Amino acid sequence: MARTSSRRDKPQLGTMKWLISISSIAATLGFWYVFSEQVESELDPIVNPGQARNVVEATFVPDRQREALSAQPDVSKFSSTEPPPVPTPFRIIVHDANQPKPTVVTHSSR
Amino acid sequence: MIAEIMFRAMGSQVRVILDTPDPAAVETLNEVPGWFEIWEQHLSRFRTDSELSLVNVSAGRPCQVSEIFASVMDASLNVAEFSGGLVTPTVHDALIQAGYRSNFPDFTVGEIKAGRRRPVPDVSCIEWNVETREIYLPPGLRLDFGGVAKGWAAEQTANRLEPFGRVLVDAGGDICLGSVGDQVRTSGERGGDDPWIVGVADPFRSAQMIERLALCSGAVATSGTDYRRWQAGTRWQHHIIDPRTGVPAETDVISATVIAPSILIAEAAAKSAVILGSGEGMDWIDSHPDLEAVLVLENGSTRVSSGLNRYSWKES
Repeated sequence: MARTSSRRDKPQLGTMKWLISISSIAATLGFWYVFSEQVESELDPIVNPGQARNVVEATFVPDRQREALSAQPDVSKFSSTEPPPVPTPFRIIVHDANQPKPTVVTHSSR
Repeated sequence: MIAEIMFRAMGSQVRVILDTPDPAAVETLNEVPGWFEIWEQHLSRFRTDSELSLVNVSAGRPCQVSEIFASVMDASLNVAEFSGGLVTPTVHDALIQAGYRSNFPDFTVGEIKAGRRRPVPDVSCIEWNVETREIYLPPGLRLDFGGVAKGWAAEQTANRLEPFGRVLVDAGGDICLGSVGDQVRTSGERGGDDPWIVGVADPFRSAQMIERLALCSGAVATSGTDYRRWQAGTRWQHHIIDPRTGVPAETDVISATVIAPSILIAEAAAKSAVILGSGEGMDWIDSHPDLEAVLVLENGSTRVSSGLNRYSWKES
């Protein structure tokens, strides 16, 4: 019985060792993957925009939002320097002096 | 000489007509689209970089505004007082809730939130110092100047062009005739021998007119639910918010045209009449001696105020 047991234990022990080894390797690789991704994202977010965006959203955007919220609106640009007019298509008509005034129509806003 | 300019601004078709002996006035007409562009950059809620949008995102903190913004803010508060709060700049969020997120003519229906009926905030919650031009909006409050901005722009244009001669400004159907503060004059009165003829469009058949008015000064404005409206499920929504409920006005008036001494008053009165409905609306118009109105009802009938006849134009 003991021999039989012994024959049965040996393969089990070997399998467990394999499993432990594979698990160790996987855990190590996983750790390095996660760690390297984190470092990469924090140091150079541009390298991996997808990952970086997640990190940025979690850590930096609130700061930016706080800055934006604490900033006053730039109304000075309106009070001191008016924005330049953007060219708008328009049509000018000069009527003959003998013509009656044009009729205009009031209607709901359009 | 009569010269006119047409262009689009503030989501509307703008037409300015100048009756002038001065040929050089045409040069000044050329500048009008630029004026509107500047004003729109201050006053439009549809531009994220407008002064109005910046003020709206600053709600909860005081900020100082430009002279243009201050002038329209003043006008907006005056209109709110005149209309008993029916025309108010505090309807911004109610308009968004109704789906009015983008401007015409490029309008697309925004997300319509289930209409919870509640009054919009009263303008008394806005802290406004006219001397320092400082404004404080309570957190979460946003403003929309709406028709007041357009009426103000039309009035400014008329004031600037009046030195050249007689001027008419048609801002998307709201019409300003000459000096601000003038009494409305008809062709039979002093200075009224050469009137402008203003047709009142039939809201059911836009190419036809239900009335022609002869006016030498003052203003005419029309407000209605026949345009700037959109469908939400089976229901029609429109842009005239009833501040008492916070949802588009439920009214039997499809369009209201009002004659008044100024375009801001005319526009506010027309909108108020739509919100109040034909019965209460016409009573309200009749309680103001300087207002006359034509109301077109959903059933196709027309109601006119008691003194409208003196402005009616009969072709001889």
